[in-house]
Amino acid sequence: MTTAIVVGLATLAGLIVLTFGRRSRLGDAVGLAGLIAVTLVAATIGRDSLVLGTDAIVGTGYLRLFLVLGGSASIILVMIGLVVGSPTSVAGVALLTLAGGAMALSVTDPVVAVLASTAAAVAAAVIAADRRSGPRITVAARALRATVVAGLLAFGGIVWLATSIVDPAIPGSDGIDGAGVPATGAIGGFGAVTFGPGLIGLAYLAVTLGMAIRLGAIPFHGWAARIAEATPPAGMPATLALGPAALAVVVIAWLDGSVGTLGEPLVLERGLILVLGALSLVFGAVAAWLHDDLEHVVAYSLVQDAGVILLAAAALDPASWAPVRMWILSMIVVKSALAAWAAATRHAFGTRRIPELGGWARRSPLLAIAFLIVLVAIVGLPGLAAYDARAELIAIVVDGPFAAVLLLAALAPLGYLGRILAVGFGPPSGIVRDAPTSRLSWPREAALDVAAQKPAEQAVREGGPAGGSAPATLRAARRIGLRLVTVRRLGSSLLGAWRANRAPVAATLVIVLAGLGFLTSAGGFGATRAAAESAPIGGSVDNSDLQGPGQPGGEPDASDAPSGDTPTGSPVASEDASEPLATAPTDAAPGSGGTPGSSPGGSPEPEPDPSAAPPGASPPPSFEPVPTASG
Amino acid sequence: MTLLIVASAAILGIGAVVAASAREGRVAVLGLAVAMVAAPLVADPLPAVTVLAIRLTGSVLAAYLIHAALRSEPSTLGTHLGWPVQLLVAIAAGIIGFGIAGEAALGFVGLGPGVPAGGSPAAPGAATLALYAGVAAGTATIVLAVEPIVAARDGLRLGIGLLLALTGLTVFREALIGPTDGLEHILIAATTAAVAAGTAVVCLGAAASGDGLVLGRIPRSLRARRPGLRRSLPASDDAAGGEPR
Repeated sequence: MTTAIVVGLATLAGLIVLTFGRRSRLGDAVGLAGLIAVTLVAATIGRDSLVLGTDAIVGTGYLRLFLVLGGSASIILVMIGLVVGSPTSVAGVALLTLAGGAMALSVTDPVVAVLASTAAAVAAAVIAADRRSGPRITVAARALRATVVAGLLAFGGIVWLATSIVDPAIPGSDGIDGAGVPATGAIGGFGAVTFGPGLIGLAYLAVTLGMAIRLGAIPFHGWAARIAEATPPAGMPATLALGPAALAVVVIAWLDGSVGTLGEPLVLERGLILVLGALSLVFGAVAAWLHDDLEHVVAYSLVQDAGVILLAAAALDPASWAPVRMWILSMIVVKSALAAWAAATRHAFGTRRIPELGGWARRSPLLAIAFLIVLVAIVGLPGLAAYDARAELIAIVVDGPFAAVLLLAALAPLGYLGRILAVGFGPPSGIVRDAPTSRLSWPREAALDVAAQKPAEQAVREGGPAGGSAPATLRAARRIGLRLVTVRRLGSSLLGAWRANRAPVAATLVIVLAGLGFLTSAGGFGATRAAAESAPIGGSVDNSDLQGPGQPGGEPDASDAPSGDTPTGSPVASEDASEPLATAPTDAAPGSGGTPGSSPGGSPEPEPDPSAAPPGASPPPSFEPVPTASG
Repeated sequence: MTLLIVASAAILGIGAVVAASAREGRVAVLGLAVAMVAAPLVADPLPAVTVLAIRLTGSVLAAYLIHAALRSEPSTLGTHLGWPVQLLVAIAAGIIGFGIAGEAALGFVGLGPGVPAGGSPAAPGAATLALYAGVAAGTATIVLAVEPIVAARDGLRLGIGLLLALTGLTVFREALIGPTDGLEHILIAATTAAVAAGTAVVCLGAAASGDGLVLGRIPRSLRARRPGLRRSLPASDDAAGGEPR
C-alpha cells in the first residue's frame, strides 16, 4: 500500500510541476516538497503488498533503498539546480522517474513493469524539449524514439516468450498432447513447429537490446550523448541513470526467471550481448577521455556503466543477480554526484570545457574535495561493495585475458577523471582566474545594512530622537516599525549573502551527494543485503517469499533464497561459480530446478520446470504460495 | 461477438493505414484515434466496461493532446511510401499474422472450447477468431509502425509510429496470451497518453522553432515545395545547457 502511495504521490507532484513553466518559483517549491515527501514515504516501505486483480504491488527492501537513494540524490540535484538556475522541469522529471521506478520494481507482472518504466521515460523528451530550439527538439525526438522503442522491444520480447506458458494446470501446455505424446522440442505454447531455441533467443535479444538502447550502451549511445547536451546537468541522472536503472533491474529479473530457466545455451545471442557490454566498457571510457565537455564525460561514464549491466544480461546466471543490483544502486547515486559536480563546476566557472578549467581545483577546494570523493566511489577500491560487484560480474561472464582487459577497462574512469583532476591542479586558466571565489563569504553590503540599523533601534529604545516626548503607544508603534524594517533588511542581507555564496553552497551540496554516493558504493545502508533480495516480478504474493535476506533481521543465506516460483530467478548469489561464457557457455538453465541460486551446471537438457512459469505468462488466479521445485 | 471482433480488427487495420499514410495531420490523428479505440475490442472475452472506459480515456486523451499540438502546423511531411503501398503492406502483414495465429493455434491451448490441446483449430469459436483477428491486426499495425519510427521526418509521424507500435503490441499480446488484467490496461492507457504527450511536446517545440514539424535537416525537395520552412540556427550556449553540436 505504501508503494502505491509513493507512485501516486510522485506522479501527481511530477505532473503538477511539469504544468508550471520553465522557471517558476512555485513549481520549484512544489517539486522540492514533492521529492522530500516521496522520499520520506518511500523510507517507510515495508513488506506489504497490494493485490490488484491478478497482479500485485509488492514492497521490498531493495525498492525502498532504490527510492530513498534516488529520491535523496534527486533532492540534492534539484537544490543544486536551484542554485545554478536549472529549469523547474528537472524536479518534475525526477518525480515521474521515481514514480515509474517504484511501479516497475514493485509490480509482479513484467509487462506492467516495462510499461511503467517506459511511460515515465517519456519525461526525458519533455526535459530535452524544455527550450524550443530546432536542435533541441531533434534531440527530444531522438530521446522519445529511443526510450519508447526500448520499452516496446522489451514488451514484445516478454510477450513473445510468455506464449510458451508451461502451466501444469493446463493439459498440453507443456507440449504434450492429449494422448500423452510429447511434441518434439516443444516448450509449450506454440508447440514443436514454432517455438524453438532460435525464437527464445529472439525474445532474449529483443528484451536485452531494449535495455541496451535505454541505457545508451554502444552502439545505441547516440541519443544518450545528445540528450546530455540538451539537458541541464542536474536533470541528467534522472534521464540517463535512474530511469534506465529501473528498467535494467526489471529486465535482469525477467531474464533470470524466464530465459534462464529454459536451459537454452543461447551462445550466439549471449555472445552478442557480451560484445556490446565489452564495447560499452571500453569505448565508453575512450569517449569520456576524448571529449572535452564535462557533460559528455558524465554521459559516457554512464555508457560505461551500461556495459557492466549488459555483462549481467550476458551471464544469464543467478549468481549475477546480487552484484548487478548492487552495481545499479551505486551507479544511481555516484553518477548523480558526478552530474552534480559538473553542474556546480559549470556554474562556478561559467564553462563546461575541460581545457578552459585549468586550476579549478585550486580555485575551489570544496569542489575538489567533492570530486575526489566521487572519483574514489566511481573507480572503487577492493573491499568496496560496488568494486567487488563489478569484479564479480566480470568474473562470472568471462575469464582469462579477456577478463583482465575488461577489468582494466572498468578501471578506466581513473584515466578520464584523473585527467580532469590533473587539469584542476594545473596552471589556472583565464576563466578560472576571473571567476568569483568559491569560498564562503558574507557580503560587505549586507554587513553594512545590519550595522546601520543598530543605532536607530538603540535611539528608540532609550527614548531618544525617534521616541522623545511622543506618547508610549506611538513609541511602541515606532519600535515595531523599526523591527519590521530590520527584518526586511536582514532578509535582503541574507539574500545578498545567498547570491554571493551560491558557488560554495552548490559545492557543499555536491560534497553531501558525493558522500552519499561513496557510502552506497561501499555497501552502506544495507545495499548489499537489499541487492540479494528476490524481485516481485512474476512471483506470487507469498509473505515467505519476501522474508529474504534484505529484510530486517534476515540473513543472506541459501535458505533465504527466493522460492522457485519467482521466475526472477534469484537473487541470492550462487555459491557455485558458473562457467564463464568465453570458455564454456552455460548450457544448463540457471535455476533450472527452480531453485534460485542453484548451480547452473546441471543437466544440459533440463526438464521444463512446471513451477518456473515465465513472467508475463498468464498470471496465477490468486496469490497463493506456489510450491517450489526445491520443495 | 464474432462480428464485433472481426469488425474491430478491420477498423483497427484501416485506422492504422490512415494514420500511417495521411499527409494531413488531423486526418492522421483521426486514424490513430480510431485504431487505438478499436484495439481493446479485438479480444475474447471483451474487457470489463471499466477497463474499456480506461482504455477509451487514454486513447481519446492521446489523440486530443496530439491534435491540440497541431493547431499551428497541421500538415506532416507524409509517408515515404504512399497510402496504396501502405495498404498492401498492411494486408501482407495481416496475412503473415494470420499464419502465425495458425501456428499458434496448432499448439496453443487454453484458448477455450474449440481448440483441442495439440490439435488443430477445427471448431473456430470466438476465442479462436480473436486469436486469428488479433494476431493478424496486431502484426499489420506493428509493421505499419516501422516506417514512421525508422524514417520519420517530423515529430508527428514519429509519434504516430510509436503509438501504432504500442497499439499493435497490445493487441498481439491480448490475442496470444489471453485477457489482460486491469492494472495492465491502466498502464497501457497511461503509456499511450504519455507517448502522446511527448509527441505533442516535440510537435509544439518544432512548430515554435519555425521548422513546421520537421526534425533535423529539411530535405531539399521539401524546401523547394515549402519555402516557409526554415532551419533555426543553433543558439549560443547558456546557463541551462548548451546547444547540441
